Amino acid sequence: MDKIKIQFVLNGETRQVEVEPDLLLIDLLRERLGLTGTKVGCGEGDCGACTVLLNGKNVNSCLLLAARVNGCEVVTVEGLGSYDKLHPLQEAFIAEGAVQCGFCTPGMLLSAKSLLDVNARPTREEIARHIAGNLCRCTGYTKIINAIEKVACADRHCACSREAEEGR
Amino acid sequence: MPFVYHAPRTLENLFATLDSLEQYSLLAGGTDLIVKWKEKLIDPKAVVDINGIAAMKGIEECPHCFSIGALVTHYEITASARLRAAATALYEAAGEVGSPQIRHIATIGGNIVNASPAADTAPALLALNAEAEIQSRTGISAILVADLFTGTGRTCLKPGQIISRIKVPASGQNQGSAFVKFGKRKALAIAVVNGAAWITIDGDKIKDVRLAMGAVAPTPIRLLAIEDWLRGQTLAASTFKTAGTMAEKLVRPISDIRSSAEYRGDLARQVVIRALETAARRAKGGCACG
Ligand SMILES: Cc1cc2nc3c(=O)[nH]c(=O)nc-3n(C[C@H](O)[C@H](O)[C@H](O)COP(=O)(O)OP(=O)(O)OC[C@H]3O[C@@H](n4cnc5c(N)ncnc54)[C@H](O)[C@@H]3O)c2cc1C
Ligand code: FES
Ligand code: FES
Repeated sequence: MDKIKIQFVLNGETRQVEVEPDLLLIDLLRERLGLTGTKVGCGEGDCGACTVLLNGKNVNSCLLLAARVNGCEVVTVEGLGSYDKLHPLQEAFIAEGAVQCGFCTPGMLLSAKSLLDVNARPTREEIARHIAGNLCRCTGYTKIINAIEKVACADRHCACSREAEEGR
Repeated sequence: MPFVYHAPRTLENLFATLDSLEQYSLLAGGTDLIVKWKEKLIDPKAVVDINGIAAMKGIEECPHCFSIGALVTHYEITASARLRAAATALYEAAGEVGSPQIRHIATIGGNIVNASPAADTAPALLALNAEAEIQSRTGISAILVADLFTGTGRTCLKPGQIISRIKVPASGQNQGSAFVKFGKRKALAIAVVNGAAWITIDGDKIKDVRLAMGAVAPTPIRLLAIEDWLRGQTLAASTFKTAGTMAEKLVRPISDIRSSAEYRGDLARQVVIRALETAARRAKGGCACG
């Protein structure tokens, strides 16, 4: 089986790898590149634990052949923040108690990021709709939505953050 | 078994590749194909990734219609203000597929060719009278999407043929369309019943109408007998209710894991009533999207 040479940008860094035709992106990330932040749940597109960003959009890495990311940009949870400097969404998830077992969290964070990148001030309904492909068996979603809303509200144009600033 | 991977970048190269292969699977978004491969329902010797082919991409406007590339994702459809206004049922159906993750990679072409009786864009395309452009090395022909399906999971496409684009007539004055889906939950649920209506009104009368439904037969179907009855009827709640009752009797729904036959019949009635009501409201409102 001939290997395929691919080049893609992973968490801001250009990577060149050789992949088997039937290698899935999730396995490239976890097994080959050691990025185990991305989780495997159902393996069939139903749970969202494997969510990564492909050219800025949230996708299921369990359904993508690795060969298909040639020339693309991929972001995993490792590219979101670091231990020293967490991403505002990560800060908010912790502050709001939106993490319990944590299995859904990497995917949930990336779905949230892909929403806020195109819609800085989503409604609660828009948030719920955008994380509909990410299952969480622990939190009941309310705290996750609270956390995402908190980051959206930290955006300077948002009415609730203006109120907070004026009250200060 | 592993497969060989090809990623042609032009239609010409695609057809040359297909010619050279004994057996292959085309890969668009892969949300049906990869799942089937993982479940060992298929074992392709070769996978031909068509995602690099520009001629199969993009939403173009032609006079009174849209030409939608087979590789256009459900997400792209939901992001099109023009489709929302003038092909509303398709816009709504694409927004009901799977989850954001699925909509970002799954394509309209894949949704059709996979030929699931419950495919969400299918009833919308049937109601809108959409045509699929079938392309092969020897040329291009057009076929109504309704005539593409030959059975559950089967189409009339022959080896070496692909769907390159889908042509959807644009709704104009006095016209409107709507899509309705009943699933077990709002996201990530295959339809128990789905359906779509397209309507042209003349004052308070129905001038023309098309109705389609999914998950009630081996393929998505047009409800031609009900359409015939509806033409010339007055726009009224009682008209839509009668059409709904006819739908319940007409479709011989199956009992399966997602619902009993009786419940499906009830849903079929509701799908027809709601789709007709909404399409008629849009036709009256001037703005197709209201
Ligand atoms: C978690 C999950 C949820 C889903 N939810 C829904 C849902 O709510 N509603 C729904 O309708 N579907 C749903 N689906 C099914 C699937 O996502 C859709 O049918 C999707 O549109 C398929 O498109 P694709 O590009 O991924 O197709 P692929 O998997 O790439 O292809 C499907 C089939 O079509 C063939 N094909 C693809 N493009 C062409 C072409 N241009 N010409 C000829 N043959 C072609 C392929 O060879 C393959 O046989 C879901 C799937 C998953 C995994
Ligand atoms: S592991 Fe990919 S969606 Fe569940
Ligand atoms: S925190 Fe456990 S699944 Fe979401």
